[in-house]
Amino acid sequence: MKKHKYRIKSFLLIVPCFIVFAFLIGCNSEGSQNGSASNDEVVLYLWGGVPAEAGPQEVVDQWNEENPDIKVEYTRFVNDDDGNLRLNTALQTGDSVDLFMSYAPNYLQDRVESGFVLDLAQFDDYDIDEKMGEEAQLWKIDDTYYGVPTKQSANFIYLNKTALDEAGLPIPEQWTWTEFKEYAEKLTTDTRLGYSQFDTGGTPEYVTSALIDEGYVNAEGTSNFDHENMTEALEIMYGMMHVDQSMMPLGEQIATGAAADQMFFNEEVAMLGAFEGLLRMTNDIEEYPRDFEIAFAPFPTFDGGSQVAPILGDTLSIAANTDYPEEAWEFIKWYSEGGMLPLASGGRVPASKDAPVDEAITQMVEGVEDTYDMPSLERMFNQSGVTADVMPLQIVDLLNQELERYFIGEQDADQTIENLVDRHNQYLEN
Amino acid sequence: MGWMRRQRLIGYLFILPSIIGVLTFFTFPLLFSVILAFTNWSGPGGINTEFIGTTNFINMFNDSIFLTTIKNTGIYLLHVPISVGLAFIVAIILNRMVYMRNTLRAMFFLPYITSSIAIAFVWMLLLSPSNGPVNETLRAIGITNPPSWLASGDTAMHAINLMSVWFILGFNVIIFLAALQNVPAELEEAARVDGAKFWHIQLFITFPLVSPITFFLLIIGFINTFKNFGLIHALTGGGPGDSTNVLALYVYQNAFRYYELGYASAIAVILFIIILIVTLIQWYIQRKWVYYQ
Amino acid sequence: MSILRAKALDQKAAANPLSKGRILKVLMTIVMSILAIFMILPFIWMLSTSFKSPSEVFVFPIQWIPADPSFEHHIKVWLDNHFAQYYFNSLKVAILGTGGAIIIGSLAAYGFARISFKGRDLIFFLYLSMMMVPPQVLFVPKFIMFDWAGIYNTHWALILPSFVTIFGVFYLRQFFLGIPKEISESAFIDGAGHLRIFFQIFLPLAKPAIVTFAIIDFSWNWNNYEDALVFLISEQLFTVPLGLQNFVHEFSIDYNGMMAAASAAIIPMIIIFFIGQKYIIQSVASSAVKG
Repeated sequence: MKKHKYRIKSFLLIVPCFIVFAFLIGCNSEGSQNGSASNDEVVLYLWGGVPAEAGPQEVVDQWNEENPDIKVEYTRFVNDDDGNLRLNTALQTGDSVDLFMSYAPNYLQDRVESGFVLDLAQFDDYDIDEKMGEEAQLWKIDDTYYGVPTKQSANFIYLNKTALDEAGLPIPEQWTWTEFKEYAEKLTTDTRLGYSQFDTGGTPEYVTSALIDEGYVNAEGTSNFDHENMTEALEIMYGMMHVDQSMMPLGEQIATGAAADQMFFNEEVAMLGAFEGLLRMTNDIEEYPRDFEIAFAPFPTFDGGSQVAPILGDTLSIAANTDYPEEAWEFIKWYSEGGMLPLASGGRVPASKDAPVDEAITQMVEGVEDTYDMPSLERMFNQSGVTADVMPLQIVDLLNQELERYFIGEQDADQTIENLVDRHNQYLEN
Repeated sequence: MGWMRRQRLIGYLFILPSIIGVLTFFTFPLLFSVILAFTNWSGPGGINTEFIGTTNFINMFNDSIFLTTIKNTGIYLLHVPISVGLAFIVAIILNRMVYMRNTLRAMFFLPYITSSIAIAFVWMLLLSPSNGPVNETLRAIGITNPPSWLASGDTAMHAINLMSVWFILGFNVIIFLAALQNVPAELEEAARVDGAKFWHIQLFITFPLVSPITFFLLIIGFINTFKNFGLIHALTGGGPGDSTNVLALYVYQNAFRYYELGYASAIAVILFIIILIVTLIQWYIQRKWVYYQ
Repeated sequence: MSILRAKALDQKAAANPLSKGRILKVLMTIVMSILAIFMILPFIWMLSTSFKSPSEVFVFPIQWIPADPSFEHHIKVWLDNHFAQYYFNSLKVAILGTGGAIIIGSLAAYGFARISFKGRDLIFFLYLSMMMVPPQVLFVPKFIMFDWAGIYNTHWALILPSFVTIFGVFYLRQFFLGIPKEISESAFIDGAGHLRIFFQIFLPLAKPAIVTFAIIDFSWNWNNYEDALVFLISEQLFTVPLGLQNFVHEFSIDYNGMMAAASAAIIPMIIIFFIGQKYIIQSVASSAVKG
């Protein structure tokens, strides 16, 4: 064994590292827990899923100007599983959230069960049922409101009107799924698909529509997925994907991450199934240039079945831990009654009957009116029908799993229905 | 205090900060979580929490998704040994047998630090069943019916494995490269003088010398495969169907999508036990092939 | 074997341009380059997207080189958002976290590799087993703990946990175990204490491993998204991975902006990688001298 020359050089290298280290620790501004001072000023932290520059900042600025003694600050969370996790953990502490948005009843339900949300029954100066109509019922939990739904959520189909005109097809005001399938086929060309669905994660419209009158669960408390409309719905969609080829097969759409919205703008898709939120993109003709006019149609119905009613969304709640429930409540009322107008260009139309709904629709498409078929757009915010039940996320997911298997050809329609019923019933038992 | 005793004390002090850290950031939160596994807790505010004993564990074995995720996780493990083996070969080549080695090494490491959105995007397009470059190549060389990759339940898990080999390769390579630096060159030289073939030298001299690191990469690779779902989350979200859903993703879904925190904890406990067993087995086998100086 | 001899061999190879070794080296370089190009496709896509216009993003087949490259998104990233702030925050979190992890981790690794005490390997295995805990189940308990300790919504919530690196301890332990026992034993007999053996023998010998660990750990800390997501609320504390979420709009993603930001985010990791590589290669010489 030879003697080792102990080298001191690498030890010296550590010294500059320590200096950088110490410098950075010095920079570590102590516990900047939400910055603002807490003298007499009331500060409300509002959390929402819309990027601040797309409207919320303007809303908040307006409120702050009108109410100098109650300051509202906006925090944005991305409305996906991760983003909702972020909000939910923040809700546990009293000091970082006072007001927040829920975008689906499921999420609000989870928050209520966790004890995060203030019951609004204690405020008696604003009748939610009377203001918002019976559609608000969807957001009732244990027979009371934990949030005020503020906007009308409408699902509908965006139509390339130029393509429709060329094919000699009128803008449908009411139609069945069979008629819809024919439209899609007629609109399909070598370079263009008839139809595409914008998002693939939620409850498909044809499922909601198939069970709109019977509900997802029957009177005996078991699954309704074996209803005949379901079989018909599955066969229509399968036919569109694999026989007519008027629609991209679901497996391919998911596996390639195909952007249906871009395909619509590029005229590779003639009809796009989506919702009002997409108006933000169709309004932005600079970022998303297009050479055609857009018309709108409601989602189809089944023969003799009801139309799926638009629901209410953007539900604003007060955190249970807030120090300023009264002030937060004032903000909610102000927001619902028109404070939310700067969000109109994102397709947000107030739910309250006393809010300036027409003004919102005008503002929504201001400057680009002539790129739309306006009468059909106005109809979309005037739909009536039956409100669908809330489907638990577990069921939404298992539904999509089984449908994917069906559409990529791993199981036939009967097998799919059977699996759906089994798994749904298993969930209901637990 | 005697010198030896002081040395022993110093020895403990070496380990102490790390042990305290692990107790604080891992053990303590874990115990909390284990208790949760026996409740029906559904949220951090937990107003209705009650102790429900082993119900969660019994439900698990009637839960078809849970059983599928176990199977998928098993398949997913395959990429680990493949990637480690491949990395050993690549590392040996990149160690001395190429020009521009710094650049090449960096290129191999790049996937590990590239935005996962970019990775998902490019791979989805590459593997696109109808017109992706991969399948067009396969068709060009005469395979008329190439696999649908991510679009089919039969192949999606294999496609994920393939990508994972690709993703983790650079990481394994740079760990091997560091280990290769301490392989004494004179050993190789001596063997070469004796007329041994190059790959024989690598297999019988280099490989045993880096075996502690190979062992490390296998253990870490398996543990991470059990724990991580980032790539799957970005690519398929567990689909098509539930064909690429794995245990870790299912824990996440239950915890932060369905807010079934009690059930999520119960699955996590099972996941933990499985990883522990797999690691113990490897630990036991190591004496057969890992060579410590 | 000495470096001199290795150099002599290299020179011999250089003198004869068609030597077998040289042809092999060229061949290997070509093979590895082809593989390497395959490795960097997403990186190229990321770069090229950052120079494209939104409508070009989804054009298929992929345009690897944008038709009309523009710096617009790169400029916007640095001017509009608080990106510079996020960048500084990330640097801070990653440097502090990695620095602490190296110090605490290498000490513990030495302890587990070369200090003998009763039950050491069992303790080590228990220690290791903590790495097997699915991180999702630790979020909520950690959150409650951090809130109680007052480090929720501060950078400490990211830095302190990253000091604890079971991965690093395990890795360095394995590396230390590969250093011949006789070296430390004889030094011990010569009267060198653990501290001296650690700093003067093990650290220099383990330089390739420590540098490798630093590269990896830095990239983890730099990319730490989950912890930042849950533990940071105030915008001025955001790190780069959290800042990237600003490019996610309500129903669409600004891929151009996001990829411009992601390209900028990758720079520190590449710099660290190249600096680190130097040390790894340097040590080839030192390990050859050692014999």
